Amino acid sequence: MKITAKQYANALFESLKEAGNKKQDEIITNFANVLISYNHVSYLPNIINNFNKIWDKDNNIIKGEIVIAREIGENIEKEIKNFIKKENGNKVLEIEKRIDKNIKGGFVLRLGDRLVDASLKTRVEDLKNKMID
Amino acid sequence: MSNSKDYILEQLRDKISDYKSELKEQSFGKVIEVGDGIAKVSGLSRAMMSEMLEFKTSEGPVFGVVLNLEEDNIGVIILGGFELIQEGDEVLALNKILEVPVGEEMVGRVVDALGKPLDGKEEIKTKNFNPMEKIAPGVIEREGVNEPIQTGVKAIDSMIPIGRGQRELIIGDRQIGKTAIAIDTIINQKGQDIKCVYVAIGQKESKVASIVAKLQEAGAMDYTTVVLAGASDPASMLYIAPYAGCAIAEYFLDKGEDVLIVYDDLSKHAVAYREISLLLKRPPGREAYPGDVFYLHSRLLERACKLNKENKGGSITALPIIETQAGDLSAYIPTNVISITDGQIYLEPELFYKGNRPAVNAGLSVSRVGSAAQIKAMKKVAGKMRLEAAQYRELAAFAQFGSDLDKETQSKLERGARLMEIFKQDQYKPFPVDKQILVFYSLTNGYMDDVPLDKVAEFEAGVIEYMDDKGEEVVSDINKTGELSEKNENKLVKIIKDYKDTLDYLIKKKEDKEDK
Repeated sequence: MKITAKQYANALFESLKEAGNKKQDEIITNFANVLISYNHVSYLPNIINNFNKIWDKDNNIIKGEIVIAREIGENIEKEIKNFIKKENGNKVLEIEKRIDKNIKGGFVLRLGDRLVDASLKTRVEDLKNKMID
Repeated sequence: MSNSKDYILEQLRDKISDYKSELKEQSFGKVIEVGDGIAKVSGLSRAMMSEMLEFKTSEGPVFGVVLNLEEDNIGVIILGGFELIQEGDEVLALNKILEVPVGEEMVGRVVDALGKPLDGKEEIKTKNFNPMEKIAPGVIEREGVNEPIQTGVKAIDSMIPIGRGQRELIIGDRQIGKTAIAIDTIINQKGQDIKCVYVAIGQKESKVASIVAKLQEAGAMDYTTVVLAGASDPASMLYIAPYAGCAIAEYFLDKGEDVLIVYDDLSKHAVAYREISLLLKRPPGREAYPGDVFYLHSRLLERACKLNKENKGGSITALPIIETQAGDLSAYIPTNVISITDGQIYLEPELFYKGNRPAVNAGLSVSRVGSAAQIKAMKKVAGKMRLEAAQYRELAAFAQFGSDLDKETQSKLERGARLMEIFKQDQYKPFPVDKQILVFYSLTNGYMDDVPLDKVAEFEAGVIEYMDDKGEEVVSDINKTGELSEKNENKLVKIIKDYKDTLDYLIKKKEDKEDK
């Protein structure tokens, strides 16, 4: 049977979790040897990708990004972050900040596969479409 | 001048002040893979089956439909230009099932599978939308087929009658007049208070253009909508086109109207679905079609129905068309659709090349429910014709061997030859039912037996003209009651006899006989 990258990632994650902190090096070396003997080294980027996903899920981490048009100062940033945290309960949030002048104003928040588009650009376009109708 | 300027400004101001920006959470994903009209998208964990998606490309939005839901990605068919979509593009869920605009505004228009106009006329603005996929009405809402739909084709109305709410398959090889029957039927619905939808799937645009021109010429576009997914459109459009056509028809059904819908043709639809399925890596089955190709057509054709009075009593009559390869009726798709429909009209190449057009094969064609819908007058005159036509074919095959035939056989052959002659009919010239009754009456009662075979067409045209002149009463009676009473029958006989007395060649024959 063909082993998929996802199954490799799952196996690695499970064995690392079981072993705790002690034998990590040994397990990883073994894992690499398995990959080499099955000729599956080319799966590695995919395995790492899947491993990250499993890790995030297990540790309740949600990744996301917030896009803003320009620097907004620490206070507002903190307020937004607090708000997101409140909405998402006990999840751990890893949010990156990105500045993109194209959105003109407001913010765009991506969290997992959810999206809140509060940018000025989208709203102006929306208004434009409404007026054409 | 300044007044109108103020007015426009006022309007704009109103619109702006009405505008409320609302923030809503959306579901989004990213394109992993794209090609050949399909895309794989990650994320979108809450996507629904056949939900609309919007691909944000560098050159404006492109739409797609969810067709495959897998553990960590979804398969999407792209409606339109997939060349614009790139790996990594953002995809938004629109939170609505695939739908199509419907309404009176669609009548007389040529639209694509998404309801956008293709005829160069003004944009279609409708208030209503219908979902493309809809569960067909159940047993409680339906009633039996009990009203006829007149195709205007003599061979069909007499032998293979079609009722409102029926699904009658038109099947045959390429270039044999399948579309012609469907178009004739649409033309014949003029003034019958029936809406028509013609769905062209994978047809050449030139052919569709000529059909639309023909319908316009006949005045049939006043009640017809053409849904076109042409040969150059992507497979996804071909796949959704019949469902879109059906959704447009259902709008009129819900209003209690009668609708006729033609799917031309479903074999190309199956091929388009096969393409999509194979690209989505669904396992292939017989003839490489996916396992659910039966359901593909059965769920579409189940939507044809006759509703009962409590549900406004509307109907959708479906005329699906299937193209066979070299007359092979036992291929996968033809057998499937034959078993779904309530009968089929089989067109035969042999008959076609002999000049019997429309080339309806009376033996292999059936209508499983239509006879309940035939009007009484037609039943009376055409009851025996099916049998006679079948007997004639059998006898004609035998008669080729020997010349010594008894009198009975000979008269059957003579009668049959005239019957075949009568079934010949020009394209785009549907025949009203009252005239059909007159012609069939004169044939089955032997009034045509002394007319020479090469004069049958002439006789037919003549007797109809004579009837228009002298028999108005009978015609209106038949049309009103749908019955042929004894009184009218006698009148009919008199008209036919009177007409025959005016014909030179018949009088001559009579005189010759008397001289001897």
